[in-house]
Amino acid sequence: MAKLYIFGIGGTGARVIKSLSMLLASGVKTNFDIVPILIDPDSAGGDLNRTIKLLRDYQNIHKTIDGYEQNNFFKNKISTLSDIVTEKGGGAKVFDGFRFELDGIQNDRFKDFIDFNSLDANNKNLVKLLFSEKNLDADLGVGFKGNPNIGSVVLNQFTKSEVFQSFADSYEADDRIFIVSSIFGGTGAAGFPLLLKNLRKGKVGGKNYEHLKNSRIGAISVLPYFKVKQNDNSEIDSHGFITKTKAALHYYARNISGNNSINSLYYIGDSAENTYENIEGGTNQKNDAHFIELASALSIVDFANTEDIYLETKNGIASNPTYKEFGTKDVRQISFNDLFDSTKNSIINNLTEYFYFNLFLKDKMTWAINENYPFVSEDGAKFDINFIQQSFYKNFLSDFNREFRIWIAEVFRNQISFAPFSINPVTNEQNEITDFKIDTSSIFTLVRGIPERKGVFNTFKQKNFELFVTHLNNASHKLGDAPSPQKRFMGVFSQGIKSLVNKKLL
Amino acid sequence: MDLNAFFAMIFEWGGMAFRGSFSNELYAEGLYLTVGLISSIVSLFLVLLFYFIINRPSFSRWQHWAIMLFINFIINFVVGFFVPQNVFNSLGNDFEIMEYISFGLIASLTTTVFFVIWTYCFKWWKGNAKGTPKLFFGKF
Repeated sequence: MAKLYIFGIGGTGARVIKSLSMLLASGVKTNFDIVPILIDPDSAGGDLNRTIKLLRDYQNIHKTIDGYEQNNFFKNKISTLSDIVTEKGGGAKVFDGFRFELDGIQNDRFKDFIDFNSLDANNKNLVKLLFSEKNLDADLGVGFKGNPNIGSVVLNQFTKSEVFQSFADSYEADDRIFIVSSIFGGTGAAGFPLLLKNLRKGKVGGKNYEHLKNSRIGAISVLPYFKVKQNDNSEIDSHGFITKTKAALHYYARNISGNNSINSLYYIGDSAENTYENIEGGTNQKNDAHFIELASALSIVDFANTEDIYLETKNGIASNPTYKEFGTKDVRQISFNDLFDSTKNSIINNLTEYFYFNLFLKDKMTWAINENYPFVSEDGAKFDINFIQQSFYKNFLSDFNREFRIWIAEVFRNQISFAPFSINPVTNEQNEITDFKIDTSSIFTLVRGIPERKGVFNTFKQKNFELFVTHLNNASHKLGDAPSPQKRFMGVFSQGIKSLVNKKLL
Repeated sequence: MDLNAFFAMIFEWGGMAFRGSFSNELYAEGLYLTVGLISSIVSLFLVLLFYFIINRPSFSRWQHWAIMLFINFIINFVVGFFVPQNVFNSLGNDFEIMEYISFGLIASLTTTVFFVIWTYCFKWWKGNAKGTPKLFFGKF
């Protein structure tokens, strides 16, 4: 299978890849093996580590149920670069995970990184012209804090690393590349043009890579969509977001779109009304998920579904570069009906089905086991207390689903609000979302703007979770034998919920 | 063997439940066939009702099946009591009330077996009560 390498640069990169993993879990497919490579100097970043944990859970679930056609969830493969290199029999040293670790920045100031003290007087003066005192004293361990001039120096390290070499070695003609970055910060704004320039050179470690030079490359550049609280002690000031964006766009006009170096470039942004806490980095830098990140993840799906003919590249220059933007109807709380048809159709079934999968597993699985319904005990199924204590269910699926619920509640709470489902976010004392609640009296009225389909003699018909169980029982009967209990479990829920959603909602 | 004789053998439990002249009159009037057909159909209907018409998760456990079995018992007691009584009264045959009660109970117990047999014919089919009940061992 061809691979789609996704470089997620900075915090925005990690959050977009998180949204993408939610979409893939729900059954959105790309026909590519997704290979996320997260580039972020802030190793303790809350958003980054949440994404990495999520991707690992996804991988564990996918590996367990891979190849089972009856299942629609977690269908798209996600690999690490290390997996790809190992598959190809390579032995180069690559990071065993999703995040590329930049060397020499932990507990280092920028001036130490560039070895400022050993420069001669003339070079010191030159550096002082380019970088302020604050820049030189910046702690790189928490990122570049909105300074692309620092990022462009430090991130050069990536394209000279063994990891980049391994990536170039593993890259094949049918593969594609997508770069996710924000334009108004430090890491992403610096990393995107730098990475693109090096890809188009097609020269890594002294070797030429024609495939890489002529690769099909897409990217999304995320324009400002939030502000941070004013804090005089912080180097991050959202008043500068627009200025930085303008400066970067001028640069892109010459060095990205101006020289046709990219095949598809997506732009997205929003009037930044919501204000985040001003955290410079580290574990506390955890922002609510945002609809912009979901829409950005959809750009990756759009790029993956674009036919090769539109992505031709000759001698490192895109033959037909395209530039795309994203829009919704003019509302501040978006339901499925507020998306345009192609967007709506690409996610409504999958997200709705996964939403109901979550509801059942969270609140009703133990009940179903105790009631010993046919789908847990007949037709070769044995989903008992022992099954839900195993790591597949307890550690991977439950953890992933909890993150999915938090993600759904966060995009619901954020501004602009993506509210496809009627939920009530649950928060802890720090106002962090920990889950959501629903009105269980009528679970088929939870999809906003989509009425429940009711037949005649509705009084006597099965409702809510009883109807849910009926569809699971029927799916279990139809499924026949399955290669493993985990595959059977996912197949039953996948098929049962699909028929349920088709009958009652879509 | 005609059906009347077939049902007579079943309702007399191979002779164990033979009740002399009452049984002879039942046989002579073809009432074993009448009661036997009604009982079989009632049992079949109740089983189909449970597995395929009601067919709800909230009414699919063995306790619910037992309720249907009890209803089957009551209906067939009524059938076993009143069908012979109506016929014999119209013919002027006088039997003690205990004869009718005894035959009602025999019919109920016999059709309990019918109900179980129908159950094991249909409990494997697709439905919310699939697999219910497990009266013996394993899936059975």
